[in-house]
Amino acid sequence: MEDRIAVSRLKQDDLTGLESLVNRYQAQAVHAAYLIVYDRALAEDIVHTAFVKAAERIHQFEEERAFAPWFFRIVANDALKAAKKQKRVISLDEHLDEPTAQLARWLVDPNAQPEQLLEEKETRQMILGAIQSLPPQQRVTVVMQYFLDMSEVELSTTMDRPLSTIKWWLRDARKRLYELIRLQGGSR
Amino acid sequence: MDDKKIQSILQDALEEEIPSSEIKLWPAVRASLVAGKRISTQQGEKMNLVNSRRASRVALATLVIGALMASALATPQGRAFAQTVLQFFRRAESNVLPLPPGQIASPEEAQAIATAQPPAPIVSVAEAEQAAGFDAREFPAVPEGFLFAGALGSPASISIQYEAVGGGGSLVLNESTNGFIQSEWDQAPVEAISQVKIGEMNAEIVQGSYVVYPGETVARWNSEAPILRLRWIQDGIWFEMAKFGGVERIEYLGQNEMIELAASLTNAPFTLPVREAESLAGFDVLEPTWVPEVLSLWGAAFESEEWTRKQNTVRIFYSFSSDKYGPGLESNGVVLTQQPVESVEDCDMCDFVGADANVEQVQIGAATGEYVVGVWKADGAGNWVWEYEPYLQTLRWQANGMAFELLYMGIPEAVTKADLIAMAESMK
Repeated sequence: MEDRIAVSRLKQDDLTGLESLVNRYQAQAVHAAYLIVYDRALAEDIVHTAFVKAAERIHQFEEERAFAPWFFRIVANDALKAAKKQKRVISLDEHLDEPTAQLARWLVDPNAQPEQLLEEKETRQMILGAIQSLPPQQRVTVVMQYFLDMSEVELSTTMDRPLSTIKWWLRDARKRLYELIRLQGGSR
Repeated sequence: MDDKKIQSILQDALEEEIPSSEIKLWPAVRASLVAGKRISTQQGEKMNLVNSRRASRVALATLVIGALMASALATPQGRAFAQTVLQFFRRAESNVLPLPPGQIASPEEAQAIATAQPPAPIVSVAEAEQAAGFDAREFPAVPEGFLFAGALGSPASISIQYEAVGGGGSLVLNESTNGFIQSEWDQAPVEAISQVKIGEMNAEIVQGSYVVYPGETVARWNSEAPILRLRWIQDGIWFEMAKFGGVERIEYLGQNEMIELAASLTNAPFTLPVREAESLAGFDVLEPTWVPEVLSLWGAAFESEEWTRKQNTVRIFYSFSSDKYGPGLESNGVVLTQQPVESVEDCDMCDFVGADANVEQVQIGAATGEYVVGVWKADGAGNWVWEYEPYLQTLRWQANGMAFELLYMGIPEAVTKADLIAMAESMK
């Protein structure tokens, strides 16, 4: 069932519309929330609640808009609130091993080529660690751009922030990661 | 490396952490909606969405309890089993409760402990509902012999409090989506617990309390202690109604009357005609001559200056109804509150909100008013902070010696700031 049809059914109080949306987006949403809060149970709770909120607010949703960005904004906002409470930001002087540093370097400069590292299973975990090292707000922005494949313009809409702010957050996220590398003596 | 590559790697990493095949949220999401009285379980059936954010785990637990009950009640053995399942009070093993060393409390302290609430400001019921995230049930009128004292709201719980006229007693209605308080002081001996019915609902009522007598190191159950507590579960909400004290004005409120009172709880407590509320208040009550199409007059309530308010106060509720937004939103709407104002100190609606709130000056005819969006909420550390919440808009102003407040709780675009100002300007 297409999103538009699912939303239309949901607006007519037909739960099959919501079921379709849940089945389509639950995994991506839980994964995105997990990247922000790094707690599986919490991520599932956040997404569960986001679907309930979406159902409750569906009458405010304009059908000509895409459902996914609207829904992921709810997920991102709730995950961000949860992440802020967690205060699990890795400090800048915390040690990063070399694979993580290289991945962080990629975030600073996407032209870098650490493919050989990324093919290794353990390195995939390093990506998660690298993103986790960001402050919650920047983590959300990076996750939404790289994981949810949102453009800066879509991020601006989804996060309800000016484009300039999104650009600044992304730039600052990369800058912070660069700083991590510099502090641990990584070369660039 | 391009974004697609990193996206692919991220997906692989996450798939390892949380396989997509293990993510099955639909049953829980569906349970949340159904348990919140948004009934729709089978394909083709309709649901009734309301604005409520009841905790999903509680909703699921409620469904599980409901399923247990349905199966249990099918057989005589099951019915007997069901009686053991529905225990709302924790059973004490004895009518003597040993106290840990150093924790010997006086009867007064015992009562205070048993009824302890988290620190929270006294707020309106609407504000408490916002903080709790669900709609409270209220008495259709302030119970005889009591005066409304205010409400406390924190995530997942609401406490609505009444004080006996002249003091010496109180009535507290606690509602929670997180279960009952189950402290040592809240338990009761088996023989003190009576199973009763509130309509078709099972409930338990307890008369008495554990008290510590002078010089003793144990708490003893006193069935004559003037504390009467009624507990039940309804629509996924845990209710406790507790009466404290036995002064003459509230003596009438015994077990049967408590049960009747519980049965009368409603989501729409404004039952007085406006003119009757006006008569009780002793001042001319103004009403808007224009209200948005989505609102209609529901009824009024009177709150006395003797206890709850600094001045006699009238509240008028305009219920929300709109085909565009669907059914089930009747508890949303606008509450118009008005009271005489003699000084800032004697005014309930002259102080406003947290320093971080964005209070906007607006013009209402010749008067300057204040408009704000948001609500007090508890943060993770238990502090109360003002938080932006688009579902709650407040407009306050003063004119001709009266203070007015229009509080709208509901879908933001359905009633706007301009609508509230227009309502205010049409008041006569």
